[in-house]
Amino acid sequence: MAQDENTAGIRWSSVASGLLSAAVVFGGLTWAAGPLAPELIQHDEAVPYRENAQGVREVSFAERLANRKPEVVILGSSVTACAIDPELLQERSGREVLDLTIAGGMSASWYLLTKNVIAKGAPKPKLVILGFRDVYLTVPDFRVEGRYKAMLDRYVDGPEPVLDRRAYLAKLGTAEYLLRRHWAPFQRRDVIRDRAEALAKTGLPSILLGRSEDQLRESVERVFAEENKMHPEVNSAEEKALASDLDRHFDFDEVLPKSFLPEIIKVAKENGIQLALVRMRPRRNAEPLERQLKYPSFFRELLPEYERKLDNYLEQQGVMLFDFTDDERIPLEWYARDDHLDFDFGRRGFTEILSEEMSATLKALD
Amino acid sequence: MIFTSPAFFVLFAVVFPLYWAVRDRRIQNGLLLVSSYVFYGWVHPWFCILLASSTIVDFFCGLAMGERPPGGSPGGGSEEGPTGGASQVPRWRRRRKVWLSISLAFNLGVLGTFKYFDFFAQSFASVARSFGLELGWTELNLFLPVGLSFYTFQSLSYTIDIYRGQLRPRRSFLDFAVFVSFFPQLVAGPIERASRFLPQVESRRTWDWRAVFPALQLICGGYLKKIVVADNVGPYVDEVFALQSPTLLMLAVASFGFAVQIYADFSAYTDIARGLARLIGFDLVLNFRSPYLAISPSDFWRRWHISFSSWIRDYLYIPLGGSKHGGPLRFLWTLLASLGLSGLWHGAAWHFVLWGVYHAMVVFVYHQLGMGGRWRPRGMIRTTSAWAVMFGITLLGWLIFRTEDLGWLVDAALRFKVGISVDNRSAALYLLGLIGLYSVPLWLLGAVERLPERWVAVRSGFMAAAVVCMLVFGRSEPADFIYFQF
Repeated sequence: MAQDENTAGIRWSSVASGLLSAAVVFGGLTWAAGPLAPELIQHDEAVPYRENAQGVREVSFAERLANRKPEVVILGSSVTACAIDPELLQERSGREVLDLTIAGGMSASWYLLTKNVIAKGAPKPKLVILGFRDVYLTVPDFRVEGRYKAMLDRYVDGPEPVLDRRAYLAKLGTAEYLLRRHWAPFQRRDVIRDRAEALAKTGLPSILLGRSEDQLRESVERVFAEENKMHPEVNSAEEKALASDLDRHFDFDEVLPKSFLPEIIKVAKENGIQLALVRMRPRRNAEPLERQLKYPSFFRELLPEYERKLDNYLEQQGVMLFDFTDDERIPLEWYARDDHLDFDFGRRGFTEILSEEMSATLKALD
Repeated sequence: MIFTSPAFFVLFAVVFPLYWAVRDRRIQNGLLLVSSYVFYGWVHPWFCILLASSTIVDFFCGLAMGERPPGGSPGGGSEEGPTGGASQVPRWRRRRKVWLSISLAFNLGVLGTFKYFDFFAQSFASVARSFGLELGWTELNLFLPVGLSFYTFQSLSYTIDIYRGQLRPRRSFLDFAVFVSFFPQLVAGPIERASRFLPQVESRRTWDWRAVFPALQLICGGYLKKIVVADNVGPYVDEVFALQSPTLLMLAVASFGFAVQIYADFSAYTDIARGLARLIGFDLVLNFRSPYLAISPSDFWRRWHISFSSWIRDYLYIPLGGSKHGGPLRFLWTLLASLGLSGLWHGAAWHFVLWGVYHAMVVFVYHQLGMGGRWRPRGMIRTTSAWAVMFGITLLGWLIFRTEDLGWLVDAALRFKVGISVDNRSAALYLLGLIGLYSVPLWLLGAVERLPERWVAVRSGFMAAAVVCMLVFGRSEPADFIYFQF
């Protein structure tokens, strides 16, 4: 670097004091963050099981499983919850059916539930029906941060190397990985951020409104409830990011080994649980052709190849697939918002179709 | 490429030592030009074609306009004026006008095609539909290149200034190309004037250790504002704008949040740009001067996006007559045209136009009340009241600016009722708490900037704390700078 007479104007004492001050502040803040933990991902943020406004305590999935001892369990997100009516399926099949769908749940939660809840049931369910759509079965890092992490942490049982690697560590860049490995403030950033935000979120309202933390949380959840949103599917930053680079998830051969799907199948097989995947019909497929053309082109160009490879893989693995992607029996009128069916008639209609399609499987469970 | 992407850090780490390793100004400029095109074409290399076209057209238009008038003095600058060949002077003037028109037509044509064609086509089709006419418009669906609006205005200032005789045309294509494409400010300003920036490109730069610390402070402060403030406040603001029917209280809080977000985001870009430019020996124009401390609309426009508002003032508002010519109606028309177009510059959508028109109306009303121009109230209470009113006006403006659907905003206003539910009060305070939390670095940064320059230890300590904050509170996927879309 060219250097000239201007260095004469530098006061080296100022430089030294500046560097010393920066080092002291940096060191002090690093020390304040606490010791470095050996695990890179902490799972200590689980949402507690709370009582609702009527004083009824939330029941954990493990408890529900132990109480009901179902033969059939349903896994999936709110799309599945809006498509399969467990009571109607139970009535049609004569099997005890338990709904373990989670609003916002995605492949990481399906993996944890299969491994830590369903496989540990006594007795174990005979059949797991897992509802999914498009490529979400093989996107391991989707909906695993923030409130989704707190939800996932509920189902963590001891060290979770597969979860940590596929949902969190795989997406870290080198710099992020090194910082997480060697610098405590970065390792504990989620906790630090949560504490700071909790203080800001609840401090002022508590003082001004005299309301408890739980009351405030419930108020905020009511105001920002999904049904109050204009486009619930693309609101969170994580979902916007997914939507913006969804095309990289269509290379099935590339994404499969990084996903939770092989693990879910493995756990089911090891525990003698039959797995039935149900591919939901996305709303766009029920829309008129000219509307379908408005959706991103990768749904038309890349998704069919992905689905073909997924189908082959499931066949090789001996996993049943019930595919409703192009099922004309599910009309546009059944949809309420986005890919969600109407919770009343849409759900009833789809469950009737599903019961019919799965009748042989459900009968053969004995 | 954006300032928060790893690729940018690599680019700068390569260019910076190379730049100072060579002492020759022309090689330095060559390096700047190459790195600017790499920076701009990193994701979409075809962007460079537009940038280069604009550069070539304006360079040659400038040269053509600078041709000696018949019998005129050498050097080509019309500031010297024609001195002979009086009979040929009108022809010479006409020719200059043609060259300026070519420059304007090309630059505004490209801008219009890429940014506004679909918008006007859709608007026209929509009006026709309301009259029962179905037009078979073909939308171009073109991808808007980032920074197009910024460098178009920057480049236009060159040809217009030459036409006006305020600038001498440049004969070095390299120097001019560096002026148009200078990477620190290429995609989101500040919009430099040729008269201010070209002399810097043309002069020898020498390494100055004393410039490093202020430059690093600007860069660090910029990243702090972007990563910790804007990127964290933004998602909470988005939450409110995603609601189907928010209450006015929620909108007020969201508007405050957006005020924080857009200032932090945009001034962050400017600070980083100015800091980077200083590191390579350039001084970029100041773009923000505590805009939310404005006490009147005229004051606000002297503090907010200064490089753009002064461009509009010099090339649109004053040529249209300003406030000095004609009566109130003429003044109102001038304001509506200038600020309406300013709004449209921000984006091809009616809410941006309305935002500009809203500001025009506010400036007009203040002016008619005798509070235009450099008006300042006397006394603390009057000043504070004036500030509070202006801040409220600014917030309402941001609401128009941020909304994507004016009907949605009108619906929210029509639903106004006096009582506010406890849920909404709680949610509003919850948001206010979060916005407050993430605004803290902004206030602290403002305080540190006001400290004496010699307090190096405090400034360095703050920078270290800022770096820790960025690493802890930064999001894994930084959001784009808001002004990129303009």
